[in-house]
Amino acid sequence: MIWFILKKLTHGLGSIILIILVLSFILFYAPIDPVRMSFGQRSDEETINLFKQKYYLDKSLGIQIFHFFEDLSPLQWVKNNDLRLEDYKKQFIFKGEFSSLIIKKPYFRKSFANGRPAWDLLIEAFPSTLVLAISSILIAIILGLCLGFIASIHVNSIWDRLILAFCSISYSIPSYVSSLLVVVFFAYWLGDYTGLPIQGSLYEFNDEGDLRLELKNLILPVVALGIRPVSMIAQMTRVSCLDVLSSDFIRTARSKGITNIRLVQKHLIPNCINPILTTISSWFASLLAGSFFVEFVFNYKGLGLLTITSLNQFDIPLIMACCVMIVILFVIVNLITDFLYSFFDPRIKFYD
Amino acid sequence: MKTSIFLAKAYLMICIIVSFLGYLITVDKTKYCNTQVLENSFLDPFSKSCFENIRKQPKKLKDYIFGMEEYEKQYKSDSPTSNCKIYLLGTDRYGRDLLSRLIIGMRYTLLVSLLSVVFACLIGVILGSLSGYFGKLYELVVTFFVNIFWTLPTILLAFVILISFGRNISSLFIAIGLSLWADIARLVRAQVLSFKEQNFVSSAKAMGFSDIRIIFSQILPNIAGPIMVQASGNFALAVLLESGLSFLGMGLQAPVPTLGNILQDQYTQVFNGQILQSLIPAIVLVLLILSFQLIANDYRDRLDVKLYH
Repeated sequence: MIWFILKKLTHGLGSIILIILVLSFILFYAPIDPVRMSFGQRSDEETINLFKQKYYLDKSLGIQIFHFFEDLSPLQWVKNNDLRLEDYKKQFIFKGEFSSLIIKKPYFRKSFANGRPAWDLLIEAFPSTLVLAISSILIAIILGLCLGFIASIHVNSIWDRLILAFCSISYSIPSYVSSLLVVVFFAYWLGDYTGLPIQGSLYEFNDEGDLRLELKNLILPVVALGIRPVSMIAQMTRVSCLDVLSSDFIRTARSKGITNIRLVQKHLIPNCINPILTTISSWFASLLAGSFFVEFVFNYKGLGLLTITSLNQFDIPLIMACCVMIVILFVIVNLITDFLYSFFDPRIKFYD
Repeated sequence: MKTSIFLAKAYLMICIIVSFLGYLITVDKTKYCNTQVLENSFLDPFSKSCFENIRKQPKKLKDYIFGMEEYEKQYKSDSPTSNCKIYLLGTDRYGRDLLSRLIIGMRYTLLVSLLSVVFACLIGVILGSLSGYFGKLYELVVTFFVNIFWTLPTILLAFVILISFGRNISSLFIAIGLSLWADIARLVRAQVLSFKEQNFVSSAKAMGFSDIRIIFSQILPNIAGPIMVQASGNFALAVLLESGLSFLGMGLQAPVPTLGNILQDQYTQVFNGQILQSLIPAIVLVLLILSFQLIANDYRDRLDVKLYH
C-alpha cells in the first residue's frame, strides 16, 4: 500500500517536472524581455546587467531553464557569491569556503509587475478559489445527483425529457455566458430585491480599510460556475443508473423482495458511482485550477484572475508559478480520485 | 428525424452559408467591418442613419472575399440623403454595424475551429494508429504524451502557446488543436488495437502489404465512424475554447471580429440597458455550440459508439 502511494507520488512528481520543463521551454523561448518588464523602459545599464546576471538571463536557453529548476529544487549546491542567495529562505547544511549546500523553500522568483514574491501572491489568491470551487462542486453534486436519479427512475416520462433538455442546453452554455446571464437576472434586473453585487471578491476592503469576508459575493459566481457541472453530473448519473437498473442482479434482488432503500443502498450506488466519480473529480480539478472566465467577469480575486492578469502583463515568474500550482492541484485531485474509486467499489483494488 | 436535430442542422447550415458569403451580404464592406462612425455609437436595433458622402463600393473580386482595404471617413447628416443605412442589430461602441461584425466573426470562429479540429485529428490519428499498430516504443511515447496532455488543464497550454508565439490564427489553431488531440489519439489507439487482430488485417499482411498501407487502406476506413463522432464533439469544444480565449483577450486581436471578441466588447452594455445587444452574440454562440453538441450526440447514437469507458 505505502509502496503504491509512493509510486503514484513519484509518477505525479515526474509528470509535474516534465510539464514544468515543457512550459519553461516555451516561456523562456518567448520574445519577452523580462528586464524591461520589471524595471520599465527607463533604467540604467548597470541595474539591467545586474538583474540579468542574477537570474542568468544573458545566457542561453538551456542554462536559463537549468537555473530556473535550481531555484525550484529544495536542495541546492550553490556558490557563496551567488546573487540569488539573498532571496532564498534557506538553511545551511554544509558551508564551505567557496560553495555550500543549502536546503530551501522552492523559490518562484519575484513578480515583474509588482516586485513581490510570486508564491506569496498565489497563496493569497488560493483560498478564494478553493472556497468557490468547493461550494460550486457541492451544489453541482447535490443537484446533479438528484436530477439524474429522478430522470433515471422516471425514464421516458415528461420529467426525464425536461431534465435531458435542460442538461443539453446548459451543457452548451459556456461559463462566461452563464455568468453574464446570472448577472443580468439576479444583480441587474432583480438587484433591488436580492441586494447582490455585480462584481466582487471573497475578501474585500471595507471603508475603514480592513479586509472583510463578504460571503454574499460568492453566491452569483457559484451559480454561474455550477450550471455546466450540474448538467454533466446529471447526464452521467442518468446513464449509469439506467445501465445498472436494467441489469440482471437488480431483477433478482427485486424478486427476493428487497426494500427500495436497501436496493439503492446496496446494489445501485456501489455499481453506478464510478463514472459519476470520474466526472465529478475532473470537474473539481478544472474548477480548482481556476475558473478563469467566471473570476474574470465577476472580478473575483482568485487563482484564475491572477493567471489571466499575469498572462496579460507577460509576467513570466507569476505565470510559471500559476502553472505549477494548477498542475500540482490536478495531480493531487487525480490521486484522491484513485483512492475514492477503491473506497466505493470494492472490486477495484487501489494497489494494482 | 427528430425536430431538435433538424433545427440544429438548419442553424448550422445557416451559419456556414452566411459566413461563407461574408462580405457579399454585409452592409459594411470594409475589411473586418471596421468602419467607425463615432457619432453612431450604441445605437438601438433597427435604427436608421444617413451620411453626407456616398460610400465606395467594392470593385474587384478580392474585395468581395476579403473585404475592402481602404477606409473612408463617413460624415453623418441629420436630414435624409441618398446614402442611408439601417443597423439591424444596432451598433457597438465605435459605431460599427453589429450584424456585419457578427457575420464576419462567425466566419473567423468557424475557420479557427475547423483548422484546429483538422489539426487535432491529424495528430491524433497518426500518433494513435502508430501506437496502436506498432506497440512497444511508439506506444510508450504516445501514452506518455497523452498522459501529460491530460494532466495539463486544456486552457493553460493554449494560454502559454498564445503568449509565446503571438496571438495570430496559426498559433491559435495550433494551441486549440494541441489541447484536443489527446482524446482522439486515445480513441484511435483503442480502435486500432481491436482491429489489428481481425482476419482481414492478417490476410493483408499475408499478401505482403506494407504496414502504412494496411493502416491507411484497411484499418482507418473501418474506424472512421468513431473518429467522426469524436471530431464533431470536439468541434463544439473548439468553438468554446476559441471564443473563450477571445473573450479573455487572448485570441485574435482587434479589429478582427470573432464571436468571443464581440461578446467581450458587448457584454458591458447590459449595464447601460441595452440587454438585447449584449445578449445577441452570446445567444448566437450558445446556439452554435448546442447544435454541434446535438449533432455529435445524434451521430453517436446512430453509430452506437461508446466514447466514455
